[in-house]
Amino acid sequence: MIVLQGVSKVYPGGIKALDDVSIEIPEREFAFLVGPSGAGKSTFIKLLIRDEIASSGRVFVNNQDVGRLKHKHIPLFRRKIGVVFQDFKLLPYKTVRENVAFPLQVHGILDWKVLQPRVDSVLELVGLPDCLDRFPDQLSGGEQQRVAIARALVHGPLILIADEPTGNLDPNTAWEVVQLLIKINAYGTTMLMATHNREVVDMLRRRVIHIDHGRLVRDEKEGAYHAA
Amino acid sequence: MRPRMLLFALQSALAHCRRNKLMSTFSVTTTTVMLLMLGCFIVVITSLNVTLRALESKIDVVAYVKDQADPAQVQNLRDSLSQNADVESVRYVDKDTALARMRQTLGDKAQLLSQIKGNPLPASLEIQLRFASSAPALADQLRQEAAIEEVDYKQDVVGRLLAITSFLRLTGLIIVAGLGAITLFIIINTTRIALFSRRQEIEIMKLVGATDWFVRWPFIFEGTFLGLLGAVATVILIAAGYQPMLTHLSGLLTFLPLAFDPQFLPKLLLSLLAGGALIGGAGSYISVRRFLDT
Repeated sequence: MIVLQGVSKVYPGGIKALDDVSIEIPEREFAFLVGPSGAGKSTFIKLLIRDEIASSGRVFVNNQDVGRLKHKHIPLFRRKIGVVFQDFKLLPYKTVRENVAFPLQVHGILDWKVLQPRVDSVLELVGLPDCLDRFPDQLSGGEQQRVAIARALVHGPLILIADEPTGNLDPNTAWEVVQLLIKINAYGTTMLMATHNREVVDMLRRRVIHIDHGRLVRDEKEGAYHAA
Repeated sequence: MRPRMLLFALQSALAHCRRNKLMSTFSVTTTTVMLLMLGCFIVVITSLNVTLRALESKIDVVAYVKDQADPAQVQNLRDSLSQNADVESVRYVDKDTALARMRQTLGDKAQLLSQIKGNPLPASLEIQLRFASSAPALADQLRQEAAIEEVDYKQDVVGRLLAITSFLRLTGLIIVAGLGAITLFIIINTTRIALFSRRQEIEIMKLVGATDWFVRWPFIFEGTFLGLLGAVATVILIAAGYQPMLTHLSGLLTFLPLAFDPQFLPKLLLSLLAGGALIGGAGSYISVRRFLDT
């Protein structure tokens, strides 16, 4: 599902963000990506969604060589993955309903008779059925992150990538969001979650991919936040 | 882009204008103020042009015909002059009419004329020109004619008038061109500022898998719509203010024949509408392109 083969990323100015990282995340897996700030987690994710291109090595997502995608094929590629961010990245002038429907509209599905049931069911899944006509700034942080997750899921992606999804949330809300991600993974979506949340990682005992100074330092099947 | 997609883009654009009232008002106001300034200058300069043309058409060239000239030759000359593109009209004044005019001019001193034997006054061709600038060339041409004794036009007056009018025309043109460029610049910059705050929106749309055109169309519609709104406001203000302003001006400048072109106002208003929409749309397109590329 996600394969990195000897991937390095050097930014202009010679800053080495990733150094010869090879990894494979199979279908339906739930993996944590951990490491201190500046370790290269964000670069890792940017390579997966083709926000950056690897300096060397190859990145495959859904069997596609991400680095070799043509510019015009990037939108189509991104529609097969879902991404959730620490700062939610909701469109401020669209309602909850419109934000969640947006990835489908991008696909060319514009008829609300088709959109509405799908928006309703995904909002039901994230536990926010009653906020359809509110705007993002009228919601709490936890609610906004749920809307963002609903948006990342609405088009049925095979992979959900979450970059610090609990970073801006209080512990209780963070737990609720993580429970939601586990539920989504249980339905069959491959999940990669970059996080600093030690408690969550230690409790769940899932695969842990640890990056430090751009290098893969640990990859454990049922790992904890820190090496045992 | 399918028509259904364009409709969706249009709906998104209108919804955004409605939801972000502050930015929309700011854009429309800027467009209105700039177009209004440009429009007023165009009105003033066009009126000035009409006035200048009226002034210039007051200049005429008088060609005195030799007494012994062949009448057929004079007739030929009259015909060729009336076909000349620079000439507004030609009038032949024969010797008797010239004398009658002289008598009228002299008034109660007309008896002086009885001291003179016969009619010393020559017949003449009075030529009204379309453009005063063609006077010197036409005068030279007429001097070559065998039937013509002498050509007269108010050489120094024409020279000075032409210097003034061409200066005024050039100044007007420079002001309108400069103001046009400034208008374009400011409106495009306003759009850019408005879009700068929405850079993240563009980024998000792209992350969710929107194609460049899917991102672009709503912005283009929004810019066009706000530009058009600004232009409509300008058009209403100018249409309402045009008549009172010109009446006031003609009251001030009674010595000038201010003949306003009734065709001009609708033309100006249509150009302003088209210009507002075009600048708004193009401004958005240019600004969005910058954010899409990065």
